Amino acid sequence: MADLSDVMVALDSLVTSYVYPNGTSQPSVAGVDITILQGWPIPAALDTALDNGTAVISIYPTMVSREMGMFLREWQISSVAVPTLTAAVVNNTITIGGTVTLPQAVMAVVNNIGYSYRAVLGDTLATIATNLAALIPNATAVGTVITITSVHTLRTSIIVAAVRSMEVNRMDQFFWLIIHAPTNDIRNAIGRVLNAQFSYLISFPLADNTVAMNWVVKDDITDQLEETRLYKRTLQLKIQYPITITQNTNTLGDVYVNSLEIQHGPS
Amino acid sequence: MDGIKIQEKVYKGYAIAARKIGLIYSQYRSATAIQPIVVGNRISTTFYASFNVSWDYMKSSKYGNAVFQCVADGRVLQVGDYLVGQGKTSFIIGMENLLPILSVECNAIATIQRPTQLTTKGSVGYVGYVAGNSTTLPTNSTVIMQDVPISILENGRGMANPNKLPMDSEWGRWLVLMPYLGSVQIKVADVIKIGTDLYTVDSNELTDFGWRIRAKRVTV
Repeated sequence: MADLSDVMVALDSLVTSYVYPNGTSQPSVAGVDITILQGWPIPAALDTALDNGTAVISIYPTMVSREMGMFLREWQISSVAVPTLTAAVVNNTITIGGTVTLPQAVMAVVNNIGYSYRAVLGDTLATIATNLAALIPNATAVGTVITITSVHTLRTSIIVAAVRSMEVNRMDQFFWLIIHAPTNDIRNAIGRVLNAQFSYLISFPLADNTVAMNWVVKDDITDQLEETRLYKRTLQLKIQYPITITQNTNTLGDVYVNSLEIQHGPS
Repeated sequence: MDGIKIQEKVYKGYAIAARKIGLIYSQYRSATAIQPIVVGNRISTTFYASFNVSWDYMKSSKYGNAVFQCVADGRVLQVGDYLVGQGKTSFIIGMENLLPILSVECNAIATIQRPTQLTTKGSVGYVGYVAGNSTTLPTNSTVIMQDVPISILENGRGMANPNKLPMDSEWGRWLVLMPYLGSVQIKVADVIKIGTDLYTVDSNELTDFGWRIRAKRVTV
């Protein structure tokens, strides 16, 4: 699910990587410690940071935004869990292997008919084999191996949890990256890098694997607070990002069954 | 006779007068700004004092006034001492040579917090005054004064509530007086908490009288 707050988190991460290109264990681009935050700095803490010769970068959305109108409403896969179970087919046998984690289901498609068993808490590989065999005609299980008689086609799949998302709106919104620096030199060192990097950046991913577009639209400095050792520089970014909803679902186990129903209709 | 001896005589005279016309208070002296009114800080339970706004006792106090002259034995009194009793709490703000002892009458008990934030290098996530609730301290805030009796009185017109709800009222301005306890420095933007009400410090003046603070009450 993507929204305004996800954009702030993503910008936070980008800013951190730009001002600490070699990680926070190495010096920043300005040679002084830089704190990156979402929201607004607390005055007393900002005062202390500036007093210590360090800088603060705050990230906040402006009040300027607009929706972008038309977009396609369709579900897209956001993430798919990695199966930990296996169901290996050899001739007319299925061997259940791997490790049992939930939620997962094992599907056997026998003679083009699907049979699925969803693992439950306490299941072992052998109980999964037993329970699946109980669903399949002419099948028996011994240990983790299921043997099926009268088989002319046999295949298996592991059904796992997945998350899908749909874009339901798209916003153009302006964000501030405000550099609070104790000197003009530090401000310039940070601002130069941020402007260049964000100007170079076309798009960036959000937490749900959707993509936000990026443009640098303003870069201002102000010295009005220099008597308080505060040298500010404000980059304004225009970010176009999707508003998405997500849904927990499962992977499809047997497409063939569905396609038969589409062709012939349910019996 | 020198100034010291005269002062001694004046305070002795105050002590005699307090015995005649005063009431009994408990006297507290705290070295810290954390809970000054506790038994461990009590140095007398039989301290006589009388408060007035004029020496002829012909004037009453009025709205907006917290400062009273105090008739009491100045030889055992210090600026910053609290006198508690008779349903009220006062603290001593002035004991200038040969001049009347001045006190402030309290009408609230406050805890003062200093909101702060992580300033470590790299990302520190979201930052703001994350207020907590009645039992937990705001995130990353520190208590600099706790359960301190203060005077807080209305002080001029406030400002519009930025939340702009239909039933919003303005954020009033308040004048806060409190003693200078434990060398604690109050800063602009510190938060004064009285019960569940929050006030933020707009200006902080420290004089021999203690703290005079202008604050605004912030509400939703």
